[in-house]
Amino acid sequence: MQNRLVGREQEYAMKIIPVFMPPPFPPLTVLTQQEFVQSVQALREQWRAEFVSEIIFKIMQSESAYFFDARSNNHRLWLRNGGLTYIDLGSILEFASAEYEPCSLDGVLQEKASERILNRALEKVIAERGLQEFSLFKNNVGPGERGDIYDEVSYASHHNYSYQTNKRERVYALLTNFIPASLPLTGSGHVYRSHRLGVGNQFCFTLSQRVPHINLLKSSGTLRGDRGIVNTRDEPLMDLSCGLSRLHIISHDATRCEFQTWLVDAIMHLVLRIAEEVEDEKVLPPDLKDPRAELEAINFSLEANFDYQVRLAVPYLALLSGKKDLFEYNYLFLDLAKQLSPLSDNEKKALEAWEEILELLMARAFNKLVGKLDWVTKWKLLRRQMKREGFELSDPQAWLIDMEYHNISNDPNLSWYARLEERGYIQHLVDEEEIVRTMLVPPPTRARCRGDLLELIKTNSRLWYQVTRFNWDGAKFNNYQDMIYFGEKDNPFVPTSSSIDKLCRDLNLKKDTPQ
Amino acid sequence: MSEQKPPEKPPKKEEPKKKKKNGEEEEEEEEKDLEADEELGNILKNARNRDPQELNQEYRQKSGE
Repeated sequence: MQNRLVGREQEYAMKIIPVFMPPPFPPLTVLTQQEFVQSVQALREQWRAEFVSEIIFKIMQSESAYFFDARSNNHRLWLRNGGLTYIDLGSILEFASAEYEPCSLDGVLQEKASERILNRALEKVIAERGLQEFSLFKNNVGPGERGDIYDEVSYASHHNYSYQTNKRERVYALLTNFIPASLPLTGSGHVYRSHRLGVGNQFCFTLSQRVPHINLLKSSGTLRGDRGIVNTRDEPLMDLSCGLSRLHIISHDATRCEFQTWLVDAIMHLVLRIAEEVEDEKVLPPDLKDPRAELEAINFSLEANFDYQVRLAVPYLALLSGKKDLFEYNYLFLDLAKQLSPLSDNEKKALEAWEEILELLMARAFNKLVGKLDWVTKWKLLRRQMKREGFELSDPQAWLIDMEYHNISNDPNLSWYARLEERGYIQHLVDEEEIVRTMLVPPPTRARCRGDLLELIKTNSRLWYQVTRFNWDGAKFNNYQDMIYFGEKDNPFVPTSSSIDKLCRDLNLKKDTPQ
Repeated sequence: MSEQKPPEKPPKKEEPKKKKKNGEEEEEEEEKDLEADEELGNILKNARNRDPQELNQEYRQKSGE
């Protein structure tokens, strides 16, 4: 297996329904409409921050918690399984997984374990606060604050991959082609309203929630108007001496199906290997003429039953028109990946799965993709409901199904995903026992070292007050000069740390013996 | 301190069932048709579908009013 670290960050939407909502102002107060709207917005903002904090505090009281970084102002809570939860931008709950190896099942386990941890915290908050409902949604769009559910705001799933820094330009170039083309394999599906001049509002089912909010080819930003297909933020979270950087993809959708969660990381890893290992540029797939336009067009391609040809930057040798069938273009990446050498067993399985999905998509065998790809599962569910209940895509019920598919609750009365799981539609790659174990145990990566260091701190409590830095790549102490690396300084892939061993020797620390 | 690395389970691949028919092998998979599922249910019975007065009454009883 080519060494690589992968990790995901997910921002969650919330829905809170109190049993009784107190007015934000004293009774008999006369307010203008503007004052009233501002009061409600302020209350909503206050509640959002308050309830997000409550979730983190409930997790902190559970066995999943490890280290609450009180120095930070965003409630950073490190977890026993190597992950991290915190508050982003003042009021957004964010959950970051521990680093895992691509093509393994650790990524799926981390995602499912995070949902379990959050659900347990939610149950406690609901019980204590007497709420009608408190739901978290693992998706990428939600209604803005103008009272129109289709006037969306977007929040992110960030997919992170380590890669060789000296191949950066090749990586960026290849991904600006691959990310749009692979949308039928990565999207989570969306009921989308578009507005076209002369036509008015139109509703359709698109492949991705996130695509309408990606407006650039490359960008280092992550906020509205500044999101690129490829994010160029350069924050490696590894020592520069290892020659690696962190690819920070913000244009992918959140995934709920276990198979798709695994597949997205696997195919990204294989394409990154192509960028890093294939020297001859002539064998690489031709560039798309306008990747941003292709991304948008492919997002709507289900409407045409995927009868879509991508436009190439230069005429492809076999096709003078400069176009190629969408799935045949995907095959160019798959065929190159098959030639990578060596290939681990997991990578070979990933290639088989990648080819199987492309074959099923080419054959339009969508029934066989239910439970594997989120957009297909959601689309089929919508079609069923629309047919039985007699509503169109423009009906808010369709939008609601889209949202409720992403509710992470395991209650089939709250989440369509949970309902489909109960009925046996979702393909499982991992079992319940493994998920529960992953709530406490990190993957066999440098994430283990964070746990080792935290155990050491617990056993030697004098270290608690000496921590000056604790992050993904390492830690620093007031009373110790050297940086402690998780993994090794020049090799972040190993689950051991000689710097932790040295710290123990130098400070004569006790191991495994509680004080 | 660190637990042993668990053996990695490769992803399960569903093997299609094959049977011979008229001398040729045919693939037969158990396939559920989501669109035709009669027992999936039509709505989620969450709080938004409940009577608000009933919910308020429940809350008052819980809070001892």
